[in-house]
Amino acid sequence: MGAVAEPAIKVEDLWWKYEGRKDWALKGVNLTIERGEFVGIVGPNESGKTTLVMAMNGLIPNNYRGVMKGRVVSVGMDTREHTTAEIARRVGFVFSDPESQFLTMTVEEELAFGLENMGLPVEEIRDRIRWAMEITRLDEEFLEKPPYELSGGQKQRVAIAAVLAMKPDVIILDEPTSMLDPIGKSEVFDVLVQLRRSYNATIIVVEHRLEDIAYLADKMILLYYGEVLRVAPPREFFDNIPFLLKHYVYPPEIMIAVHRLREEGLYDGPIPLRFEEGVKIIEEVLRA
Amino acid sequence: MAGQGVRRMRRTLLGYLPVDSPIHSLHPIIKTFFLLIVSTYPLLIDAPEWNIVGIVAMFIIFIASRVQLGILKFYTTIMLNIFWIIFIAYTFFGGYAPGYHIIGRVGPVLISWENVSWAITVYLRMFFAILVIIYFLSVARERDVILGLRWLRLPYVVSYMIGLAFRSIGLSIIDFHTIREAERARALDLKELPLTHKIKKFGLYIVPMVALALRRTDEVSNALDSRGFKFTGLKGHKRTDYLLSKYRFGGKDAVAVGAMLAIMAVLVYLRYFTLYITTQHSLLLKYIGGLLGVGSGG
Repeated sequence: MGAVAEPAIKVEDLWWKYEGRKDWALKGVNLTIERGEFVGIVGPNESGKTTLVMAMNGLIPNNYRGVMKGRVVSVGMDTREHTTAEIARRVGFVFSDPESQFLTMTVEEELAFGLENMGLPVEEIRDRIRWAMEITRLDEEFLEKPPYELSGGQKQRVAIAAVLAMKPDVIILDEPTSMLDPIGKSEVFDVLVQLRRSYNATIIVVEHRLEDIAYLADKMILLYYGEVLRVAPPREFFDNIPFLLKHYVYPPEIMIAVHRLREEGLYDGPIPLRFEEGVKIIEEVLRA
Repeated sequence: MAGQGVRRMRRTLLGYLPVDSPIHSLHPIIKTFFLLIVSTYPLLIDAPEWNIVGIVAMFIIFIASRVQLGILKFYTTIMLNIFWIIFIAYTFFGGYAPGYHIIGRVGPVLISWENVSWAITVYLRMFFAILVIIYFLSVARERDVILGLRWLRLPYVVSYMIGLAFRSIGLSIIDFHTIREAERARALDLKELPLTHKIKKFGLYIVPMVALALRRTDEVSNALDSRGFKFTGLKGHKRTDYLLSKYRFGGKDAVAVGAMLAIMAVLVYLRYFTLYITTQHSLLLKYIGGLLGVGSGG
């Protein structure tokens, strides 16, 4: 019998309470994320999404004070037994604010920083920078520029490239588009699409833009005030629209429209994940 | 055609420098060496005419490096202020010793040629030194400074801390502007207030600045850890210096450093073993002194 592949992330009965807080931010979370999966995490504000992903890369409990129960094993490393820096070599993390994650004064230094920490040979660093820039569609002329002089979308692409260059097994993106304008958001989603196609890693995205994440994800997770309420493939996840709305998760308008058609008995198929899919369903209903 | 005639620039500590500036062809450490070595020249030279030669040389270097001379306009006021401060301090408060040549009197204050000549000497020396600093800031980037430190084999922690300091300055400026805009949006504009009120209200800037700085510290610490960085280094991993590997200290660099050191050596010799660059041998001071009817200077 072949060996069973170890999951990318395993969260076992995780409880976390920040120091000085009365309430638990995470309440008995159990999760298994398999290797190569693209996972979307959604939930209302203050539901513990950022806390959960920070627990996955070791920032919690290593960099924050609080009470932790249960355990998190990220790519085989128990987050309580390894430092964040050790875990970071295999679990990359992109923060929501692109400005806050820049550590150096030029894009090139930014991309090289993690690779230098890994002690890679110069040639390999050069190749990886080129590769990461290609995937994130960053122009070579950016290399000499200070990252904080770029546009919002470009900044976040630099942040993603800096993590991607380290070729981690898992990439976590915590609301990567929350601080960007519509153009910046679509630039970042283009990169996510590209990552999905060409980079075989586990990708975990905390995101509010459900219309963009729905068709990319293999699995969606609904976190609601510290508890995981639903884990399902997108088709199944969005099938119960009233349940999502009840928990302050607002699916794209096209999904709600098709759901109404279902309620009216005009349509009995699955909820569409893409806008075009939804339009086609509505057209068919109108024709019928 | 789009982009035609557009000059590509590279950000420096003080502004922008064209990408085709010849200074970029030298190793980044040369800029730091320039600052450290050439800034000693005015300290070694007393005779004003030699400092004028240095000033002229600096202008030539500015032009040769394609630094936009317009940048110097911003410093005109500062240079004038420095001139007046030095002139007043030396001329009126320079003291008096027997043997000084009195060239005037303002109330009880005696104006001596010796004090005036020192004012000229000190000012030109300072002018030269300030030009050296402006030049350095105009051609160097934070990266050059950090690479220079790394090239000197200083511990990575030291160079990184300096880099982080540069980064923090940038972030603090952004934070300051954000806070100021937020205060203005709520009808607080310190510009309109008298100085005493400005000082009192300054707390309104300081408190959020400190709070933001603390938050930034947290963010930077998280970002560092999330990119696999530890100040102590990770077990079994020697940090690669990718950026430094991109530069090679070549013949041109050796010539540049050699020339700077040679000039310094000559100046040291002239200053400590001869009188050629002293005020006593200054032709310019002799000339001005002659015009004022006091003979030699200093």
